[in-house]
Amino acid sequence: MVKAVKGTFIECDSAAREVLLKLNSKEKFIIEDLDSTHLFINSTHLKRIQVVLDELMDANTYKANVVK
Amino acid sequence: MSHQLGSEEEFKTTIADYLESLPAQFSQRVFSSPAACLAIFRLISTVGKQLIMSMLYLDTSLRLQDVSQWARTDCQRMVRGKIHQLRKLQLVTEEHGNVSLNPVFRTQLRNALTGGGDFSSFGTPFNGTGRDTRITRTQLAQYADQKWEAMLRFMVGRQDSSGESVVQPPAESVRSILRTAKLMEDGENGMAITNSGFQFLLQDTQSQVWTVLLQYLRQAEMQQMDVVEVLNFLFQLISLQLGRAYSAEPLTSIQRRMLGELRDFGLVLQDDQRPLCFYATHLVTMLSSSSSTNSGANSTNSKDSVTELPTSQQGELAASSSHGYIILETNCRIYAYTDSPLQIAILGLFVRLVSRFSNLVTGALTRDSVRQALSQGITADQIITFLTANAHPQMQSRVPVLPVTVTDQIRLWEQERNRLHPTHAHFYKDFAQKQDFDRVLRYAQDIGVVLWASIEKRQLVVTRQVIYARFQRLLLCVIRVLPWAYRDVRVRDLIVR
Repeated sequence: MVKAVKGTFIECDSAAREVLLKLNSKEKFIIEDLDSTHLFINSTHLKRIQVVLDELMDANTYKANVVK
Repeated sequence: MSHQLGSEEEFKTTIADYLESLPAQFSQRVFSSPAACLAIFRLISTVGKQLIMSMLYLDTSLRLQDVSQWARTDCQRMVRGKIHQLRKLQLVTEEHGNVSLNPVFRTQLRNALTGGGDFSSFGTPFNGTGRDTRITRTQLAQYADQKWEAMLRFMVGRQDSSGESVVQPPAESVRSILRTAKLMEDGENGMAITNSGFQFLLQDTQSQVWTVLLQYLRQAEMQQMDVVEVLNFLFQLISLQLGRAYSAEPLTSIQRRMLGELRDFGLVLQDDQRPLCFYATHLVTMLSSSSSTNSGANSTNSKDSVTELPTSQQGELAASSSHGYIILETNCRIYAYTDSPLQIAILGLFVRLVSRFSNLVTGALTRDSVRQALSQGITADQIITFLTANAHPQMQSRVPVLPVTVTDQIRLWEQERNRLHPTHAHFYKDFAQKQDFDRVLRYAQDIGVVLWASIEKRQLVVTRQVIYARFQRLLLCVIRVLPWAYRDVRVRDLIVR
């Protein structure tokens, strides 16, 4: 039987996808893991994961001290 | 942002858009002034000019096919497109495959080029002929730059670190334009700059003046002013000669009011002792010159405008816009030879400033500083365009002007912010038979709603756009053929909505 689900389709790089999969293990929001660069998620979580992802990426960036 | 700000072309097409939106009887009235016709002619593209020139002295109409014969076969499509554009501007009329110039426009453009007709539309010189020496070009440039810079500094506002006191707010007419153009909005403590305001700051002066003038037109419309008179006067201003005194006597009351308001922007100067005398400043007269003062790398083109403008001590913007002052190194460090608080404030939008000397500021593009700018709605391209346009002459001579490593890095920082590309969508899965899936997929592909599909998994993601309604209609048809799907409540639910 065909099923139709409403949600948000996400295109991302595979690194970001891994982070999302990890986040998903804490709180389920991924409806379907489509392939290595595409996910289908619950729309209500979009804002939150965007913020979390941004913070995570920010924390994992090496900041060269260009300015003395 | 609905449209990409920044390029000068963009703004010329916007004034074109404005003209297009005018009803026919309005345009006829605009065209009845030779100055307006000449100004419009100067603003359209080279191909458009060529087409108009070829038709200018023809009293009969031409067959559209013959017109496209003027171009090489591979360019005919472009020529037709151009004709269509000119038609939308109501410069060209088309009847039964025959084209001709709008008769009013034709007559007045001829008048403008060869003399004759109502020449007062080009402005009536004050006190007859002869160069006026009471106000020199230097003074004019100083005055215009001072006013324009005051407005920009007001926009940058409190971020200005050098002045303890808050920048003197400009006149009410200026503030109201800034407000209606959504460049600034009223906040709890005075007016605050918006995202589009930041983008505005990074544009070259010519684009900025266009933005303000277009906004002025829209505002005039809202205030029930006669748009044709306003437009005619703007076109008149554009064609005025720099450094010459013009008489305000023949102007209508609306136009005199405009004079007063445009004065607050530094676009015109009115002499206090002689209230009926006014001057156009380089801010308006440069609009019709095809060589832009400082757009991108074409620094060689701006020679005429440089000689046109005397470089003044106070006229920092004018001076620096023709002479770049920024040096950008491959390690993202920036050295800017400037002492203008405005330029420093603008740089401060996306550069981490480190030290300031009497004629030099140093700093660096860091991830944080660029990200901060990006979060204010400034795009990577705007930063790059700004740096290119204001690059030091020593950098201008290189190709490309900016180090590739740095431009790439700025773009990467921008991309990094949007690692996820979300689209509202519907996901279909568990198709029982391959042919059902194929049928749905094929139709979805036909109407272009497929975001992602996997034939092996029999899964399909379609976008939830307006076009989606058509997909729903198909689904309805499919379901008539495949009654099993209808039993699924979720599918039915989607169709009903």
